[in-house]
Amino acid sequence: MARPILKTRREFLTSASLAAGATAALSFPAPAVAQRPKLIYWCYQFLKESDDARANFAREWAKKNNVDLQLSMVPQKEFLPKITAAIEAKATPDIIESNAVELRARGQLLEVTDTYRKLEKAYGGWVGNAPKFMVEPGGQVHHIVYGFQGFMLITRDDLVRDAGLKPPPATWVDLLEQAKKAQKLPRVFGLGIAVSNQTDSQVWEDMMKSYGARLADDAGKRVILGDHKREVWEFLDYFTEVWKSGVLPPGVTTWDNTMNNSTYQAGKAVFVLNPITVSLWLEVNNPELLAKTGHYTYPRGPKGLIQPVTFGSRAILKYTKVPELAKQFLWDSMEPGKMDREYSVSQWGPPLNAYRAFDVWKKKPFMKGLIDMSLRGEPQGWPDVFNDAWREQFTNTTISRMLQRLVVDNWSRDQAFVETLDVLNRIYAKYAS
Amino acid sequence: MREPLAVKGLTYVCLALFVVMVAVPLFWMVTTAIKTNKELYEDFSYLPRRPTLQNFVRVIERDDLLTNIRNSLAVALTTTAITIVVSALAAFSIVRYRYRGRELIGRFILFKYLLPTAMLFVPLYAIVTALGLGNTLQSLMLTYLSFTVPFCTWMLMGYFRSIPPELEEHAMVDGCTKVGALMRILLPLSAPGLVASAIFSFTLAWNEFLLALVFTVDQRTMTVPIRLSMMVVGDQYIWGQLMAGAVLDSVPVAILYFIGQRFVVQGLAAGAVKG
Amino acid sequence: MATRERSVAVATAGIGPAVGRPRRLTTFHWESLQGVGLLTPTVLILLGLVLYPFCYAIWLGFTDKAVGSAGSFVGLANFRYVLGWPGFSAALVNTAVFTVSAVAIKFVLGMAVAVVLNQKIRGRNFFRAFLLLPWVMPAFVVYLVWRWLYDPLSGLINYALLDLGLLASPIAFLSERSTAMASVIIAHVWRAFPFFAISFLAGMQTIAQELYDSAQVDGASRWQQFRFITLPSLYHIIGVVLMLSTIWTANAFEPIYLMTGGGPSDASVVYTLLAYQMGMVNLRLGEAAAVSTLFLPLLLGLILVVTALLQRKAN
Repeated sequence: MARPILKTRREFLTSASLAAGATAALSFPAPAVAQRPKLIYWCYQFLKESDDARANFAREWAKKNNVDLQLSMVPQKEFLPKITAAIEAKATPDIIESNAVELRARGQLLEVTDTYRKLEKAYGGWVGNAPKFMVEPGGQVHHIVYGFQGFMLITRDDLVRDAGLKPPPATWVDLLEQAKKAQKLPRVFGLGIAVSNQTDSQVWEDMMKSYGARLADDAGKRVILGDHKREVWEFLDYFTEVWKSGVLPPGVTTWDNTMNNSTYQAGKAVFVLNPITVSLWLEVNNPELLAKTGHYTYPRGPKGLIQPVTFGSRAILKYTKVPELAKQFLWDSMEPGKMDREYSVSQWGPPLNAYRAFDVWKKKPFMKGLIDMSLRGEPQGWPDVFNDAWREQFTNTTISRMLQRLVVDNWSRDQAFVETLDVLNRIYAKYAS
Repeated sequence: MREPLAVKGLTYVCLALFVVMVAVPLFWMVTTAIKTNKELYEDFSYLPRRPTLQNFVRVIERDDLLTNIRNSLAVALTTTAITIVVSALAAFSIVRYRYRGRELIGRFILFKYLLPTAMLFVPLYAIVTALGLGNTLQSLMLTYLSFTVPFCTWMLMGYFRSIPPELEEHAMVDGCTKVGALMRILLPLSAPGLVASAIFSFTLAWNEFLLALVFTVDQRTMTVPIRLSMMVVGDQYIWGQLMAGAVLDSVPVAILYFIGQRFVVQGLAAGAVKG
Repeated sequence: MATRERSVAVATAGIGPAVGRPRRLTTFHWESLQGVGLLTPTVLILLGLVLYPFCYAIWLGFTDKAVGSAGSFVGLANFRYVLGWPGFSAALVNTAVFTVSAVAIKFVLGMAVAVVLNQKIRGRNFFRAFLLLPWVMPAFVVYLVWRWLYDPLSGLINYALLDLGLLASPIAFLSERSTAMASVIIAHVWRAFPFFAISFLAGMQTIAQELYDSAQVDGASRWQQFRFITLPSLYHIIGVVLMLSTIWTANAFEPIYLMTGGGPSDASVVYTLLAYQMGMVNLRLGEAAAVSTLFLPLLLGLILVVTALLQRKAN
């Protein structure tokens, strides 16, 4: 009667030792290859084909240059915990492709000004505001932008035309009109914009700024939103109209950053604001829908056009033991032939003029808008200064939370505005010194 | 003893309710795993219109998920084995020996769980790298002990306490050592507790996310949860593959649970105590 | 029977084994050394993998450490910042509500499932494995699936309710203040109840069938059997499980992060989300540590309440 238990224990011990043995065998270190330099590359993972292109390039490069490459695919949203632990444990990678700006602010990056200048000379100079993203007040550069990315207005041209209108809408008010007329409730909603605690909701901040509001002063230190109450109220009038008109699908108050993609891809929205990752998905999975889709830059507000762009960039951590090799990698990975192939499966706009001659712009017309976006795009947060404080309030989705206070909690505008100012002041005060 | 029909009926009704409750989301997972990508974005349907196994194929061939399953198995089994041994010894020590401080440890061992992993993973990673275990499965096997051992020790302490020491004393009179009595008498009688501890340990190790995310770096070392999370790429969920991966991930554990249940016979303890 | 009663008395009195047995001094010393030796691996684990990181984490709360920079001592600055943060009180309330409700429901459901699984039913082994499946899958898979189930435009729940005529138009369960927290709790309970069920089942399996049989002969109803035989035998397990689950539930991150992001507005923000935002997103480890440290008293309070309740029941 007592026997079965010993059998269990024995079983466990047997399987455990087998497993332990298997593990030991698995992780037995490969015999040290003499004198091969080692490069640790944390590759940005966001879009499968694009990630594969970069990873394959890295592997071929390692073979060609006889480098021992350790490649990791790091999803963008998991990068920060991993790099935090790596830095604290002193087990850092050499090359990284995410959050270079944050790491730069913490002094974690190697200076690469020479590579920057080399690229500038060799490939026809930088496009648009690329230098603004890379060059710091003292002239140093710590990361190399390899592509612009930004939200575009992705539109069901067919539905808008069926409603007798002509896309794209020129202003936000026009957008609302077109959304109202082109939607086909209850299945197809006019406008798929999140109003949640995730950063896709931050388009509302851009909209608010196109009405003339500013968060902070030109130095980026003092919060001045309180002085712009009139513009904010005008924007809130617009927002309330959007909300009441029913063009927003149910659930937007807890949408994450994937929901506008999936809503559009399921054919349930007329307009969404997103990077063209949507279109790249459609290219593979639903080309008919892609054929009906238009890609435009943002509509304007009463006080002008706010078209923010962000970027993908590559940087080297200052702890690297192979700085010259790492810089070599940075240089080689910007080579136009390689970039042309990568761009054709990515959502990037060109940061270097030589890239504007790529085949991909002709082969995939839906990507042409990216060039325009790269030329005209301003750093995120513009006209506010793109600094730590702005970034923190951005990831905190401050403006979206203000809107949620109005429609979820039924707060009055004054109540919500006071709380927003309080939060902004606390955040900016932290960095003011 | 004959069971009144009403009670038997109620039991089966409750069972049915529970099964339905568990089955509905699982049903959704499985049907999603056999839908094509395109169909997932079409109009809602309860069952797939064009079932396909391509997600499973893709996940096994292209994403090499079986390697990750093997990694998870290695980690979970090793962690469980070490945990059972260490916890049984510790529980035995606290319950059957007398020395200063044992009551204190017994009482406070569970306070470890007050600390979320999110607070501990940075220093833990520092320890792991200092030991040269970065990017290995051994780093996980070691650190997982910190959250399996306390609970299993507590569970086994309870079991050991509820078994009268006379049985062991008789055995020792007959020439058995104290630790021998542990192996021959106490452990068999605590079978349900051992199984529960094993299940608990195994499941925690199988599912653990944060430490595995930080400690393992390349795809061949990853455990399944991390590998699956990479199918949530950027701003798209690759639902089909994600669900296929999740289904494959559940199979080994379900089998182990099923087997594990067979080693517990109700009333095992009762028979021994009486005899 | 007498043996059993005595062992129960011994266990609850907390007295060690072999009371009153004469021992020679050297045997005693050797025995305690052996005892300590058996405990050593556990102690090492606790010291190295628990105590050290814990102290480090507490110390972090008093520094202005951000990623990559050595932190310098800033006293209570982080604590003042966190306490003054507008979202802090909402996090406090939500954490308490979430924890208490979820643990209570899991307890009842887990107990019910354990009772059912303890009966002689056909295919018992199969059902025991099947009903534990929610706990088997990675948490994020579970919560993503539930998120989808709740979706107003493409989720199973809304479609089924609409088809059955119970709803006129879809409800965005996760996006309304009135339903968001409850919906998250339901998904979480689905995932986590097996822990309760396994633990209780393990306890029930050591209760001698004879006890129930003789109670039945004495005319006790099933409910009375449950109250007077099953429950008392489970007190120890119930205590441990409740305490652990309280801590884990209070520390829950994935259910809320993946399903609502704390929304809508701050309807479902729990303290772990706050710590995540400050530590992982803003890279300010000092603040994150301060948030975690501030919640320790709350957790301790919850634990003390639970253990006190159990002590009362046992006496």
